[in-house]
Amino acid sequence: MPDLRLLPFLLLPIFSFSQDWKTINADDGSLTELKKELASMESIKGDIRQEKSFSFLTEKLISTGRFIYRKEAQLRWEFTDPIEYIILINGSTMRLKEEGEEKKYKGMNRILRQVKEIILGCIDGSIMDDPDYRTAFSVNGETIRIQLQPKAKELKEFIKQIGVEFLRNGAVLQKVRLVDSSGDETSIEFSAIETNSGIDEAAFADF
Amino acid sequence: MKLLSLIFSLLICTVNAPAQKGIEILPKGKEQIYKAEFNLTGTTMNGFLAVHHRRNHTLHVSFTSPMGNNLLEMRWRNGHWKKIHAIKELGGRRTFEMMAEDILLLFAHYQFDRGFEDLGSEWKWGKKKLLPEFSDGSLVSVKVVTKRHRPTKTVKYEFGEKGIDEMSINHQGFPFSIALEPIRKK
Repeated sequence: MPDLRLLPFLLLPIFSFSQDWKTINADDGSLTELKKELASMESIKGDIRQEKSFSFLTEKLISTGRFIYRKEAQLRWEFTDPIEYIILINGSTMRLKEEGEEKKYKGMNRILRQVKEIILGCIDGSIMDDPDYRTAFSVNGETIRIQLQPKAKELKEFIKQIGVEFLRNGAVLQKVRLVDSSGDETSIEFSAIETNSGIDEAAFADF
Repeated sequence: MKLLSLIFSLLICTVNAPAQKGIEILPKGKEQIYKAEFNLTGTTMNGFLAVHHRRNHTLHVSFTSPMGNNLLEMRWRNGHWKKIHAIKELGGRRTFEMMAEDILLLFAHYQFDRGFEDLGSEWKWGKKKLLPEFSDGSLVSVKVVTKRHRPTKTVKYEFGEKGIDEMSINHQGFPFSIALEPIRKK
């Protein structure tokens, strides 16, 4: 009878191995499949949990909310806690509501435009073909990870690295990890994801 | 021996002297994240201000947007601010200097600056005259008077059951203000 107390130690190398990310090329079959699945996605909605870490703080800032996306460029990104914050994108128009009040984002256009491009690009996967970024791809079991580094100086000032993770099966968006130019990290986890389900047009029309 | 013991006790009292009663906004060694609204010459930005008051009185501050990206990060130590990161919109010299000074005023951190003098009912910080107002032993407002041609600033603190509920700084007749509300753990 083998000693079962040793089992966790015997299994450890297997688990460690399964946590390893394997680099793949841009023309890898799993990426082609992912792009195909993303191209057939008409809409997606789900819950968001954002965790922001500060290098000098032990406490993390947790924000929660919901998002709704419909092709080509309709997005409702809504945080409900700890503050109410809604970004509404409908084609080329973008509106912002903070703490119950619609804001004019005069002077913040550049930043919001970049935020918009990053969010939309991560949700529909178009960011992986964006020439503004250097890309690297890897797989780990059922997950595909795309790592991006901006090329342009203007983008570098804003973001150092982006990591997007999709489940291979169904191209379900799982996680987005953003590393600021200052080195702080923001991690967004997606849950309760529904794709190609009924989306109310009103969600993009008004707050 | 008694004299030595007296000197030793006095030394201990001096080293461990607490911050002036009633003006401890963020105690030494503590950190806090605040909901923040910055109104910078007409442009309003909402987000979060993360602040750490280190044991050596270094004040580390970061202003981040609700989407998580850092807009500004800076650190005050030994009377000077060091800009660690700032987006173009916040990094201009005038805006940065005003914000940095307002943050020191909001956290009453001037009390750890060499230029601070407690003159009793009024304080002096460099060339500024600070007029504090207390209620039930807590600091509720500070009027900041500078040179005659410069606008007056007012810092206000609102208290609730768990301490400060809101704090703000406004410039008289000039669209520049910062309002902070601590985010409390649920």
